Amino acid sequence: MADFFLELYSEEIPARMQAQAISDLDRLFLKRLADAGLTHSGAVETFCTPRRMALSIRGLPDQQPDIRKEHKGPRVDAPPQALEGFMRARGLRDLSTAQRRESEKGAFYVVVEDTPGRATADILPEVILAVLAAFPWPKAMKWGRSAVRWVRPLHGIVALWDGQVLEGVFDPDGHAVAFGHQTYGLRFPRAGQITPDVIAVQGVDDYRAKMAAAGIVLEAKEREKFIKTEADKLCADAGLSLKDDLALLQEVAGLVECPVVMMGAIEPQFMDLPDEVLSTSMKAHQKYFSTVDASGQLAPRFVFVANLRPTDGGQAVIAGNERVLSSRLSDARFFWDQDRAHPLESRQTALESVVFQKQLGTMAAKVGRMVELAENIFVLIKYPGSPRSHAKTANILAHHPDHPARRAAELCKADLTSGMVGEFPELQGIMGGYYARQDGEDPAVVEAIARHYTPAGLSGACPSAPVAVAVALADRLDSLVGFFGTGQRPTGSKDPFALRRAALGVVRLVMDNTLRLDLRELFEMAYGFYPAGTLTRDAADTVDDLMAFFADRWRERQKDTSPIEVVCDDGNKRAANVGKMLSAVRVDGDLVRVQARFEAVRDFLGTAEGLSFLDIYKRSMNIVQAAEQKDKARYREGVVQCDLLTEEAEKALYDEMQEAVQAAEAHIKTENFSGALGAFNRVGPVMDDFFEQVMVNADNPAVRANRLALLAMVAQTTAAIADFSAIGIDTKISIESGVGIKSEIGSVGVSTSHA
Amino acid sequence: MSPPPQVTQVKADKATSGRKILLRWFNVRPVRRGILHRGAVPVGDNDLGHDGGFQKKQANPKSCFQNLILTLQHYWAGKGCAILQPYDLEVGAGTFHPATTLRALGPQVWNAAYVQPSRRPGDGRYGGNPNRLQHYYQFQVMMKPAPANAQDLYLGSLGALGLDPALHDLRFVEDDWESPTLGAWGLGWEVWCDGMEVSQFTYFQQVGGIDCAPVPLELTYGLERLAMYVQGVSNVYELDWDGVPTADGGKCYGDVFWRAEVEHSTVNFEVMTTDILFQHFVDAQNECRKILAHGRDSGRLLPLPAYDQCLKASHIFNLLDARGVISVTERQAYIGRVRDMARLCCEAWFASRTLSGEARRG
Repeated sequence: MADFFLELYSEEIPARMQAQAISDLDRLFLKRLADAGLTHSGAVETFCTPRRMALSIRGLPDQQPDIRKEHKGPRVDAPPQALEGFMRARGLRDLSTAQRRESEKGAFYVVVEDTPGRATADILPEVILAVLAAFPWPKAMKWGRSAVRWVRPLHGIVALWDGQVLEGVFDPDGHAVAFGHQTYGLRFPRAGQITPDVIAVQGVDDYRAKMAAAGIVLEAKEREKFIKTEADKLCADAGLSLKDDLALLQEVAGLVECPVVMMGAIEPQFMDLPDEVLSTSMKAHQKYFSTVDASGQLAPRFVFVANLRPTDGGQAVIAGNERVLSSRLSDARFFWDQDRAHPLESRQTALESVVFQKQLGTMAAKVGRMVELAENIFVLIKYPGSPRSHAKTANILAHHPDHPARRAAELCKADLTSGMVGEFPELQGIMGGYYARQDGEDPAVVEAIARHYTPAGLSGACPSAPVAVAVALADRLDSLVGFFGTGQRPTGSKDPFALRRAALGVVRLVMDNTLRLDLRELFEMAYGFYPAGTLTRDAADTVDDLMAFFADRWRERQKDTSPIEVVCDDGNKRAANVGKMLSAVRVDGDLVRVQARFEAVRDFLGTAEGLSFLDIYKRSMNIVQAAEQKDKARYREGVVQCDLLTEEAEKALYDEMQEAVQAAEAHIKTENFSGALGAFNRVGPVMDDFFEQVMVNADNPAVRANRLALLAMVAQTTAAIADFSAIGIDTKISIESGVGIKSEIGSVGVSTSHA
Repeated sequence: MSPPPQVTQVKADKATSGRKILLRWFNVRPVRRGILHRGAVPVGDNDLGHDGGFQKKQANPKSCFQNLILTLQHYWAGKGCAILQPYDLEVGAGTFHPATTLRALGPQVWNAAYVQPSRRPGDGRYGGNPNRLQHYYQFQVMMKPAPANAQDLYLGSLGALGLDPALHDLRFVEDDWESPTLGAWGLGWEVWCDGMEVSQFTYFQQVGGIDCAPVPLELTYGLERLAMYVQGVSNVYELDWDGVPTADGGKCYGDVFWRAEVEHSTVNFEVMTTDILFQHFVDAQNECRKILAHGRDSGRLLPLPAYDQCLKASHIFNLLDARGVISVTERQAYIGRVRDMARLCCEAWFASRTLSGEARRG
C-alpha cells in the first residue's frame, strides 16, 4: 500500500475549462488503474488552479494481483497433429511442462500460465503518459517544437509514488519534460523577486502545506468561498452589498491562484449611465462585481480580484483598475451621448444594410415582416376568442391605426446600428428601450423594445404586457418560420441560430401569459409575410415540422416545471409518459389547452378512478390492437351498428358507452378533461359482463368488427385528450414490486400482458 | 452571465482585420454603415496648422510614447530578435506584415520584432473619439519556435517598461485567435495589467490552412493603450510623444496625428472614388494571380510580391467597406477573395521554404 501524487504545471489553463479538466483527470486515471487491476483503498483528491492540476490517490496496492490462466489442450491420446498444434500454439518444446488433468471424458493436457502482477511503480508512468496523450481538452495546441498537444505549454510534472519520483518523460521527442519532485510557487513571490520559488514536493500533505505557505489556494471551491467572504466583508465595511453573480465568481476563481479581493471606486460622472451599461462594462469586460447600496441602487464601487499581494497594499492595482474602468466608461459615455444625438427612428434605414440571414434578407426586411406579424398577434391577444378572420383583423386594425405594437416592432431592431450595441452586443433591446424613452415614445413601446429579447431561456423574466408579448412573439416566429422554411432547422447538437431557445421563448410567452393562441395559425401567418420565393419549403411542411419541434420544446418546459411522476392511492408511483402524449401538440396548437389536458391526465391517473379507467382502457384496447395488428386493419374508427348487436351484454355495454361518450364529449367541450375521463367509469362492471358473456372474435366478420368498434369507443372519445396507449404504466409490475417505475420520456410503454 | 445574443445580433466581422479582438480600443470592429457621426470636430475648424489643440499632461522622457517603442526594441533585440521596420504597405494589423504571416510557416528559425502602423479605415472618427483611431501602432514580436520561457520573456518586457510586478496584477486571460481571412488560428491569452488588456499572446497553430511546425509565438502590444496606461492619460491625443515639454516644442500624440485622423476620416468616408477602388481591388487580385502563376510556371516561386498584392486588395476592401458600398451579400464574397489570395500566397511561401536550399540550411 502506498500513495500516488501527480501535479501538472503549465501555462494558464482557461478558466472555463478547469472544472471539467480536473474531473476528467480523476476519471481517466481511476479508469486506467482499474483496468490494470489496481483499486485504491484511500481517498482521492484533486486540485486545480490556472497553472496546475493535481491528483492524489491514497492506498494503492504495491502491485497488480497475479493472474493465472489455464489453457486446455487436447486429450492425451489425441492424434499427434493435434498435440503438435497445441504445443505450437502454447510455444512448448515438449509436453513435459504441461499438466495432465483427469476428467469424466478422459485425460487432457492443460498448460497453466502464471503472470505475476507488475509493480504499481512500473504501471503508473504508463498510466500517466496514456492519460496525458488521450486527454479530452476542448481545444489543445502544440508549442515550440513539441511533438504532443496540451491545453497550453506544459512545463513540469511531479509524479510521486510512495514519496519517490516515478520514472517517465512527457513529450520525449519534443521538449522532454521528465517526471520530478519539483514544482513552482507564484510567478512573483515577493518584492524584487521575478522568478518563482522552486518547491520540492514529498507527497500530497506536504504539497498542501507548501502551497498554502506560498499563498496558493489549491481548490476552486475554496477560492470561491474566500472571494465571496472577502468581497462581502469589503462591501459591509463600505455600507454596501455585493451583487451576487455565481457564474462570475466561478470564472474569477479560475483566473487566480492567490486571490486578493479589492474594492475600487467608479467616478461619479459615470453614475448616470444606464445600470446595464455600467454592469456590462464591469462584468463582461473587466470581470468586476457590482455593488448596491441599501436601497438596491447600483453603488459607485466595484469589487475585483487580483492575483497577488502587492507590496504597496494594492494602491497601484486599485488605481490601475479604476483608470481602466474609467476609460471603458468614458468610451461607453461617448457612445451613449452620440447615440442619443439622433432619434432611434432615424436608425431604421441603416437596417437595410444589416443582414439578418443570407437567405432571409436584411434586418429591415425582417422588421417589415415583424410589424405586420406583431400587430396581428396584438389583435389576437387583445381580443381573445374573437373570430380570427382576416377581415375582422383588418377591421380592428383600421380602428387602431397607430396601436403601439406596430410602432414597437418598427423600432425594436433600430438599436442594432447604435454605437453602444456595437460595443456591447448583449445590450441589444435594452439600449433601444432607453433611446425610445428619451425620444418620448409610448411607455408600452419602450417596454416592448427593451424586453422583446426576453425570455432568454427556461428561467428569467418573461414579458406580460400585450405589446411586448406581441413583438417578442413576432420576432421569434418570423425567425423560426424563416429558418424552417429554408430548410435550416437545428440538427443534433448544432443550433447556430438558437432556434431551440427561440421556440422555448414562444412556449413561455404563450404559457406564462395563458394566451389562447393557435400555433399553427401563427406559423401560417408568419409564413405568409415572407415574400413569395424567399422560403423554399411549402407552408404545410414548414408548419408540420415546427409543430413537431414545438412538441419537444413544450416537453422541455414540462421537465422544468412539473413533475411527470404521479403517485397513486395505493402509494405506488407511476410515470405518465408525457413524451408520447405530446403527439397531441402536433394536432392542437393551443398550448394552454394541451397543458390543461396534460395536467388533467396526470392528476386523474393519480386517483383510484384513474386506475380503473386505465384498466377499462387497456382491457378494451388490447383486444382491438391485437386484432388490428393481426388483420392489418383499423377497427377503432368503426361506427357501431345497432342492428349488429345481438347479445344482451353487448347491448348493455353499448348503452353504457353511449351515455359515457355523450357525457365525455360535453366535458371536453368545456375543457373539463378529468370529468371527461371519469365519465367512463360506470362502463367497468358492464364490460366485465361483456367479456364473460360475449365472444369478441365472432365468426361473422361484420359482427366481430362491430364488437371491436364498440370496445374502441373509449379510446375514440378520449383520443381528444391523450393517447393513453402511450402512457407508460405497467400496473401489474408496479403493484407487485411496489416500486415506482419511472419510464423514459419518449419511450412507448403499452402493457400488452395485463389483460 | 448575460444571455448570449440571439440570432439577430450583428456580429462584428473578424474577417477583414485578421485579429479577433485586437486591443479593443484601437481595433478591428468594422464600421456599421450609415451610422457614422463626425464626432467632436467643430465644422469649419479646419484652419491651417491646427492640430486639435491637445496638450500633454506632463513630459517624461522615460514614459513617453517614443521611448516605449525604443525600450521594446531594445529589450527584444537583447533577446535575439532582428529589429525590423514597419512594412511599407497599409495593413490592418501587425500580423499582416510578411515577417509574421509568411514567416510563421516553414521549418526555419525566425525571431523578429517591429512596430507596425495599422490602418482601420472604418474606425476613423474624425479625431473625435478619445479611444479610436483609423491609424495606430502595434508592436509585434514573432519568435519561431516559441521559446520555452515565452511568458517569462514577455513579462520581462513589461518590467523593462517600468511595470513593477510586485505592484501590478499581471494576468493571462484566455483569448483564442482566429483569422478567416488568413485561414489562420492560434491559442493564447490577452494579457491584463491591473485589468487593462495590454497585449495579445498567441501560439500560432495554422496559417493559410497550413500547420505551423515548429510553432511560433506572436506577441502584439497595443502601443497607444499601453502608453495611455503608463502615462495615466485618458485621451489618446494627450499622450506625451517625445518627453519634451510643450514649451520647448515637445509634441503630444494629437500634435502628430490628430490632423491625419481628421483628414483620413474625411477622405475614407467621403472623398475616395469608389469606382477606382473597385477597379484597384480587381487589379490587385489579377496581379496576385499572375505573379503566382508566373512563379509556378517558371519554377521560381514568387510568394512575397504576390502577398503584397493580397495586402493591397485587403486594404482596398477595408476602404470600400468603410464607405458602405459593399452590399451585405457581396461582402462575404470579397472576404473570400482575399482569403483565397492569402491562402495561395501562404502555400507558395511554404513550398518555397521547404523545397529551396534554405530549408536544407534551416
